Amino acid sequence: VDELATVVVRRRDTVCVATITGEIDISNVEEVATALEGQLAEDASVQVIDLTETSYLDSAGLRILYVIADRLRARRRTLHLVVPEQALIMRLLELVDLPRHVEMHTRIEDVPGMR
Amino acid sequence: VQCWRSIENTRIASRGRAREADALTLVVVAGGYYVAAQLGLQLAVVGNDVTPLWPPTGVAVVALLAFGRRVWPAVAIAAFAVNAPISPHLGAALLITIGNTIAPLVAAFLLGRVEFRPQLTRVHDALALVFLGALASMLISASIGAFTLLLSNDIDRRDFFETWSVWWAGDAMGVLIVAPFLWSLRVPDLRAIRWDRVVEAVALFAVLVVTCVLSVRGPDGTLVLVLPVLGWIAWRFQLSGAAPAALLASVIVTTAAADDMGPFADESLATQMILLQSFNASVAFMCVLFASAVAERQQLVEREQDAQRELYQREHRVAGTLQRSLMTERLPQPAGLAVASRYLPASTEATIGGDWYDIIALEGRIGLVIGDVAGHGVSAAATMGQLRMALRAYALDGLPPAVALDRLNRLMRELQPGAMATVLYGHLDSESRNLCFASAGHPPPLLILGPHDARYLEDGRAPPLGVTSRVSFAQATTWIQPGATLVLYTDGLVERRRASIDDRFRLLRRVAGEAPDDLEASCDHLLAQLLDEGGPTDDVALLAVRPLALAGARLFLRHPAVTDTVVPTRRAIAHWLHENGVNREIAFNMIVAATEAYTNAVLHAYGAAEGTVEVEGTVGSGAVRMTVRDAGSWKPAPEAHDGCGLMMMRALTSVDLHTSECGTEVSLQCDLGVASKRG
Repeated sequence: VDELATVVVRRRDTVCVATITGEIDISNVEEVATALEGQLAEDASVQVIDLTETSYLDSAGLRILYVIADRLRARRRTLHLVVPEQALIMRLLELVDLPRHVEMHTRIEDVPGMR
Repeated sequence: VQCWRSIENTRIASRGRAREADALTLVVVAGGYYVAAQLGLQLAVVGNDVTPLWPPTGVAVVALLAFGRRVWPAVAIAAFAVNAPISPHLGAALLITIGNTIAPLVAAFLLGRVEFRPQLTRVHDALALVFLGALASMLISASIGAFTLLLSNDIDRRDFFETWSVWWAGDAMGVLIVAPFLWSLRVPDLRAIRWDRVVEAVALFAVLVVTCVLSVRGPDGTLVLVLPVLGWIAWRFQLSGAAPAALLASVIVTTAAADDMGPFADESLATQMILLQSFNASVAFMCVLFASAVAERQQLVEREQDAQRELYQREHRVAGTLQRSLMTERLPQPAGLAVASRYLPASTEATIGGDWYDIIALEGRIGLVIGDVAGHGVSAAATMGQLRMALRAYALDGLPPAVALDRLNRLMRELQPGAMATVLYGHLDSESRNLCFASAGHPPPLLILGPHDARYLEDGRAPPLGVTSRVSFAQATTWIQPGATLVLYTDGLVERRRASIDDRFRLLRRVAGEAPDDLEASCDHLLAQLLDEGGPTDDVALLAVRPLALAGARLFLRHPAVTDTVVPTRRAIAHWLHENGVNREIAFNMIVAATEAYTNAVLHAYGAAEGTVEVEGTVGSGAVRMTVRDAGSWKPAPEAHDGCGLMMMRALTSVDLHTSECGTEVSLQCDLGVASKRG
């Protein structure tokens, strides 16, 4: 995307993981969203967004996570999010009640099919 | 069935192998006995039958102890083979054989009863060998032998006692000289050979041979010169040296007697025998007893050293645990002050001591403590814990540094008479950044003002705590400018054996002037430059504090209302919060809330028109406050997700939203008190 954040999408069998490194705010949220859309087009059965290296996320960034989760749910799938235990951004996800709409994991290894 | 049969076959086969091994043992024992007897006969003083040293008894005792009583037939057969040719008739040979078999059996039995150990590393073993294994048991073979000769008229009744005593002494010496020699034989571990020991052994044995040869050629009485040499060998090499030495000396001197040399010349057989037997007895007793006594003493010393080492290590562990439990407590992170600290326990011996540092959050100022209780180990660590808590209590009472140290001194002389400690206690005013401090014998703090500019704060000095009750503590005040670094440390950092303390202080000042800007890195730099590679020999405590340059300063930003300014604004806010010592969690909340407010202003305040957004921040009175201000009109109605941004702001901070025709002002506030409690 740009120097503020990078999105790397990789696929292992039926699992598709998008790793976001850096910060997401109004200045790059559209690029991040576009990069993530590419992932959604795939037919993977498990969709994962790894936020382990995401240090900052504003309301616009939270909204794209919501949008992706909704879109997956419409296709009867669940979005998996990876957020480390002590991560500060966890507080933000909780504020907007995101954990109730996605599958939360503290480590990428805990995602089904990633062991 | 098949399986069972194969097991049975294996059992039979293994039984067969065991029988073969048994037979081999018997052959070896019998052969050894026979060879030893033939060698012993070589030492006969007169004819074939009067031997002052009868080695086979030693072989028999060693074999019976090593392989058990079941090897007695080998002893019996070999004894018969030896005695048959030199006995008056077959009956006598049989009787003598019985005596020669029973005597070592009794010796082995008695030694087994007293739990004799052939390593001869205890005086107990030496005494058992001398009195039970040799002198007592060999009474049997001597008595049976002498009576047999008497009954078969081979000796006269007048010669009975002499024959008996020579027999007894010869058999006993056979045990005392040959058995330890056999026990001392070991296959040397070539990798573990110490060549200095080999050289020493060769030299001592050379001296022994020379002394023996000279003394048997010299006049009467010179034989005693052999004894100190043997003693020396026994002292240096214990059994492994003494046993071969005793055998060697005995063989040389016995051979000389057989040749009628030196002290043995022109003497009657009886006198020769007495002289020779007393020599052999002295040699054997001394070597066995002395070697075992030295070995026992050495073991004792080693055990004592082990115990001492264990004690040291335990003390080290306990003191280390105590020290760690006291030091790992999390220190407060005062706002506006960067803090880095290190505690390195002594790496060697039980030298963990009573070093400590402390930071105490007080009203409007910060208490800084560094101290060092004299002495090491558990008691020093315990005293440290008491002093630390007492000083905290005085600090929280608001006592000025000099008064607090005075109280601490009195308390210490009351509670711990004889204990001594150096302590430095200071107040750093959060607003003015004046440091008011008092030192009780502690090394002076170092103030780093910039590159190559470090100086010691030498004022405010008084004697250490615990030395005298009549002491007035001085107090000094210094201004610590923002960005300067105050380094408090204990003497473990500067004191070094064989180095002048003045040189070390100069070194610390120079190294501090070259320290990197980052506070944590500069602590590492000081330790790396001043301590040896193997770690400190004494404890080291280090506390570095730095009033931050932006600390207390107001933040003010004004940017055009475009999205490109969101990232730089957020970065500036983050830096300002960090410099003001706002903890990570609270800072994050404030950054998120302020960025939401700023983003809203950028997106919605001016519509398509141009404008600017202002950000203002202050830290003080236990709270951090930020205001985001625009002069826009907020024409479009906020969309659903903007409500989300406001909800986040409200959840993370206290929000005050003020909108007028002049624009919108969002005030955000975070309580720092709550922050530090949570942190």
